[in-house]
Amino acid sequence: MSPLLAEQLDSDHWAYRSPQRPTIPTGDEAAWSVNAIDTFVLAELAHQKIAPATLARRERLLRRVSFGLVGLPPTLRQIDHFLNDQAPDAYERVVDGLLASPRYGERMAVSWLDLARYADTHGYHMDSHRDMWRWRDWVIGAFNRNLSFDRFTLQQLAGDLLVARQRGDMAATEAVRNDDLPLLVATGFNRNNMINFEAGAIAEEYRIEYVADRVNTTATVWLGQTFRCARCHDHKYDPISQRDYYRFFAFFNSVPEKGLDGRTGNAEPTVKAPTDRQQLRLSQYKNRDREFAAALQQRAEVAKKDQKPWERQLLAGEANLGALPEGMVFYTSFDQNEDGVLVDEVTRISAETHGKVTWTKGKFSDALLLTGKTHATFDIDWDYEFAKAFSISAWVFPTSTVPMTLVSRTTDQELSGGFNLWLENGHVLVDFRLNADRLLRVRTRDQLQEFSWHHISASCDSSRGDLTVQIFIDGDLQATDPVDGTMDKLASTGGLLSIGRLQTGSEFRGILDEVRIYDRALSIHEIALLAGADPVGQFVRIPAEQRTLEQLSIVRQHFLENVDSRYRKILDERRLNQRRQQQLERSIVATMVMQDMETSRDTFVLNRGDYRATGEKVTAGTPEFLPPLTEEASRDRLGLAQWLMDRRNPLTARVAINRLWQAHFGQGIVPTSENFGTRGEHPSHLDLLDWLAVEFRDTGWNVKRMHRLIVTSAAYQQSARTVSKIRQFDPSNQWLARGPRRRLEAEAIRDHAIAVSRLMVNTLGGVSVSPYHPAGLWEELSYNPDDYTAQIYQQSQRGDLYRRGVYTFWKRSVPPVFLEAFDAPNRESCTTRRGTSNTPLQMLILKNSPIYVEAARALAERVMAEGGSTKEQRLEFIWRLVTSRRPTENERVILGNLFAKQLATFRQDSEAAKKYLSVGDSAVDERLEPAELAAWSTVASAILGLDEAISY
Amino acid sequence: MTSLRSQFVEFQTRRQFVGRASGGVGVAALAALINPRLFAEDSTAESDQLPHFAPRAKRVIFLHQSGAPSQIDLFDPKPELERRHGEEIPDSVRMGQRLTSMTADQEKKPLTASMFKFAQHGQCGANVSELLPHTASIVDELCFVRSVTTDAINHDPAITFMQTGSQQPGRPSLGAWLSYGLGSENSNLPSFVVFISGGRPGDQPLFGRLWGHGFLPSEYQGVKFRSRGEALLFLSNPPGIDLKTSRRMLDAQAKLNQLQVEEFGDPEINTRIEQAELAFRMQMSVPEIADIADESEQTLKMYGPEVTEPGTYAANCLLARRLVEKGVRFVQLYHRGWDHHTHLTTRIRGKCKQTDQPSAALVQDLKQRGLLNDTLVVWAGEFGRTAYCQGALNQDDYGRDHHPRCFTIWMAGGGIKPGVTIGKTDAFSYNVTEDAMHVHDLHATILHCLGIHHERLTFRFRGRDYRLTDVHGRVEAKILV
Repeated sequence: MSPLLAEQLDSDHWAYRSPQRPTIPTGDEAAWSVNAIDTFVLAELAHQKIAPATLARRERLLRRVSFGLVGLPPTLRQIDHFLNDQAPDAYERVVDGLLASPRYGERMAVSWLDLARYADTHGYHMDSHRDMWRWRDWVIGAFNRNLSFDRFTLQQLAGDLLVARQRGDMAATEAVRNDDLPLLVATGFNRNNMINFEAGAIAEEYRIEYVADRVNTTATVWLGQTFRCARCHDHKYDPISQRDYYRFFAFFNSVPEKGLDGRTGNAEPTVKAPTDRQQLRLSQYKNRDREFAAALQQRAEVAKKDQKPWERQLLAGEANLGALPEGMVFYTSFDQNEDGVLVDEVTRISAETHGKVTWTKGKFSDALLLTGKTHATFDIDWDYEFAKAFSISAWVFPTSTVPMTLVSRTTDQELSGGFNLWLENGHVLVDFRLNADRLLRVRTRDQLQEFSWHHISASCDSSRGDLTVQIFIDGDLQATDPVDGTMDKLASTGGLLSIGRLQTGSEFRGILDEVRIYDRALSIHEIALLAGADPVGQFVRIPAEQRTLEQLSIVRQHFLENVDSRYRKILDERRLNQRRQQQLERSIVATMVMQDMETSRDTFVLNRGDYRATGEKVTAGTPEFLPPLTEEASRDRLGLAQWLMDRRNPLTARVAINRLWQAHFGQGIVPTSENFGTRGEHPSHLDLLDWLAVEFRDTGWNVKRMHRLIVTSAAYQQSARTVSKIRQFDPSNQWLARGPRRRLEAEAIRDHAIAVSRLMVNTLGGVSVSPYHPAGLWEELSYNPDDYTAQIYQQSQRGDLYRRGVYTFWKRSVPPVFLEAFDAPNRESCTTRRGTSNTPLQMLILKNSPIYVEAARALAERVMAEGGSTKEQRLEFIWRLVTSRRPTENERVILGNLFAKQLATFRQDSEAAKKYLSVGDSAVDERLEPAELAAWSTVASAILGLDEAISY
Repeated sequence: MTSLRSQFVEFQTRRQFVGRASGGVGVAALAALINPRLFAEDSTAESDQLPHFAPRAKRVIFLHQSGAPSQIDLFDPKPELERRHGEEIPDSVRMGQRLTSMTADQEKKPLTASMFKFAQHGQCGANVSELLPHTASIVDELCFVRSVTTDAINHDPAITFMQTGSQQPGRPSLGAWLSYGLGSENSNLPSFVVFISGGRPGDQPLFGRLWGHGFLPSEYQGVKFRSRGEALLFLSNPPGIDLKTSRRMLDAQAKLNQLQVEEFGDPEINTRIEQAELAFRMQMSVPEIADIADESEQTLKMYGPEVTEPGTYAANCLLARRLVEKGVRFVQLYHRGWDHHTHLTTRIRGKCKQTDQPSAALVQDLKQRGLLNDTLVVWAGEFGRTAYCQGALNQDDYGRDHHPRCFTIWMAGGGIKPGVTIGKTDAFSYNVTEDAMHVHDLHATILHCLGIHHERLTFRFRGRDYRLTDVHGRVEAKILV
């Protein structure tokens, strides 16, 4: 340890000593105290020679605690109920009710998302989208079910390792069990860092930034330490050496991530994260599939008796064989139609043709003549990645030996998909993209003849594990060899099915006819059928007792699937069920998770923090100035998480409880909630902080319990009114001689307006939503919308316009305008506290932004519908909804005058009234008189824009 | 109480002055003036009165050419490249410096001469390419620095570095530092205004952090003036609400808010009342800025034909002048589309056509109005471009990759020597050989022009006193008047 560090250790900084439970002081005004918090506060107030304030008025207290715990205003019913509830525990019951509300989790999540730098885009450069809302919903759920803070910590930092530990193996993400899923999703905490994929950037440079961000974030959130200062050199103020920094760094340095990734969504590693509902539906589909399988078997038994008669009819020429194989997802016959366009005869979608289309005589009726200058693309909604198996069948008359494509599909899927069926020198080849990095290419050994008709078919099947690719020429299965190939063309975006081309230079030359795609692997006999053979007819002619087992099975299966209508019906239902299951599987989002590589990366001290300047090699470990990791602790993230929550750790409990305090009082007992180092602020009440920290830790890290303790204290319940002398003496209210009065957080401001106006749609969780947003705000900064997601703003529809702010889609380079204007951070890095600025833009938003104008109108409609019949009743109703209290006489007069003048104005100019009422997506109540509604809307707007409306 | 005074209190209290800062006194300066104690325990506390010394410039217009223009084709002629056109770039020049992953693996890196002609212009004889005839006509007003260097080789980190002094996100932008340090000279307009032009699909993206407040209070963030819809977000009254109604609502609110002031005595409520008034005034003053009807025909002509087309670089240059005229502290323009990896020869013509005349007009216009004396104009990209060709080198067609080692910028007005060129690069415009000016040095020099000592404009965050120039920065005295 350097001499500088040793010297600093001598300074014996308060935060590095373990908190001990202090004796609760006894004071004169013990009657004032509700719980232990108050005795500490009172002792300090006595020391400062100030008296505490009186109890806040009930409406104000209710408003304060309601915003404090659920981020929403109390309803009129809640207000009335509380005002009339004279029981001594009335307030406690209100608190318990709020803590039990699902809205509690949404409110508490906001600050955690700030800490976790959660966003819906990657942040750097193109700033395209990612899917991390499953993690966000995990956080909301964790708060709601009151997951203890130690488990909350362990799961987010090392949920994957917990799973591995529980299962006794390391392959946690190989086959995810539903029970394990939440633990894996939780680790998204440390994948919320920004991720880059700028062309030309150097992967390792950015990978190092991601790891550094995890160090900085983890150290800030749990230790309240500015580790980041020690990335380039030993910390100048705190005893954190550069070596400590990189030992900490080593915990996060073995994620199998690429440095540059995320171009098309989430970056590896990820896990598919079905919601509870999706899991339920998935198991329903699977159960149903098993039922169908059993029903088919049963039906096959029953139908046995009909097979012989059918065979006899067939031989007597009284029946035919039935159709070609069922289950096409794409088919084009290339027969000319009136419109002269190519059509997928399954979905009736027309092709976009590129180049001149020429028809000619084909194998069956018309066919497409291609001379290397024409191809067609179909935008069909079929996704083979999730189908897991598919077959292509086509008739071809090739006229060239150059490499040329029959059918291809590029993909915009993240991990796999993309195929190309092509010919080269008579060989048939299939390319298939297995994942982001691997391409499978197989080639037939035999060659087909140019200038003659051939049937070509390929089937790909990964439904039973490894992918198998089979190629058939004229119905015969071909021997194939794997060959090398590059895959970049398949990885490009687009997702179109292309007939006759993959990219420029690969255009087909010859005649193409009857292209079919099936979303399953066809049997060799079905392919033979497509190739024009008649295997079943052949086999039927063989007496049953002389048929081979295979021949028996083919005839029987053909009979069941194509002749027995009841079997057919069940089969169709089963396939429909399977298709739905596939659709559902496709809609399941993945979420980014933490994972460790099998072999850890080496970690080095980086000179001046530069990724190129590797110095001493280090292993994972905790900073020397804090209590050491135990011998038995694992040297991985789980060991680190356990060390953070260990009772000997002097920082975690203090840092965490300080933020809980900050959530209610607006500032922490340590105001610099991000910095408990020597340059951080000293706590205003060290004993209180320590008492709370020990209490939190020793009572099982029970978060709701601590919130309850804080908001039921007398200190919290004080009136915010004070004499100017005290305000001058203590402008920030650190001594707590009054209750907190704060401007609401950004999300709560908007939530408040849409809640009181009843626009709010209270869906818990789900994909992020895009409310009203000024046109062009993303587009003027964004890159190419054809190549990247989240470049163009797509406003949500209907109910999703009115969801709580916590669900707003967060693009880091252009944060949600409303939230940003009210001091929400841009989520580029960990933020422990927000400012509360006071700007003209805010005032413009409260008056002119569409959501506020709409909320004022909806509030006015509500008032006219349920706020009584007289002007006075309505004024009171609207005022109480917004401020949670009754208006004073002065307030009534001011608003009454505004209403009267506006009513006269709008009655003179009803067009203006109608225009004002037209703002917003929600329907206007046409039964109400426009002038009166508009007048009430201006009153509502004026009230919603008051300081009191955006404060508690 | 002997502990450090709460930074938080300071943060809170400073904030309350923001709405009131006017008349040329900066926010930090005003706060210190009114309550010097606020800074007393601050480590930077020699209670900095801002400006630290007499400023030469009061305002800045920064013309950022996003995507990084080629210095070799615009300002830094290299006869040696013509002689060795097509030859492989010597290792002795590259010296193993890192390249972007776009050309690091390119097999051949042929030296590529500019196909554009250079000539000396003006009394000072500055060399400018034929692509920039208007700029060439005002070289005697300009100071060229051919030796600017940066640390980043990709757009995101480089432009973030140029605008915030750090490659990684999180720091306040140059404009935010200035509005924090010096405040506004106009109480009806924001102190830091941003314009964007030129963006087409595929142009390098921009990000809010480039004009962000970083860890400074959020009111110092740049305010974007927009060409589509309202000039400023939510500036217009809702449909059906006229000025009279708007005023009426505002008056009612002011009275109601005042009742709360009386009950709680919270100064935040007073500030809210003032901010609402300011918003109301901005509803008048901002449209006035955007309405260029009062500009003379001669002025409009000077900026070129696109000046009347909202959203163009030309229109934004004119608005920039109108804003600094009204005392706006920092106007930041971004013009997108200079990232010419391929087909540089045609694409650079388009960009020059859009920007050359308006940039020159802006300087002249400021001069004619006597504003150039105390307005600093900076023209810069985020890095330079390579001496070797990216992709195939064809006759009349080439591209250039990112080059952080040297690039050329120009500055004018506000304390900068006119008609000089400093900085030299080697025969390939690859390495700086004389008067290197790192981006930190550029920042230090800009602050110097505004009367700010770059080591003394600080803000404590996470226990550390941060500054724009981090722990670097050197004022380039050679270019100062």
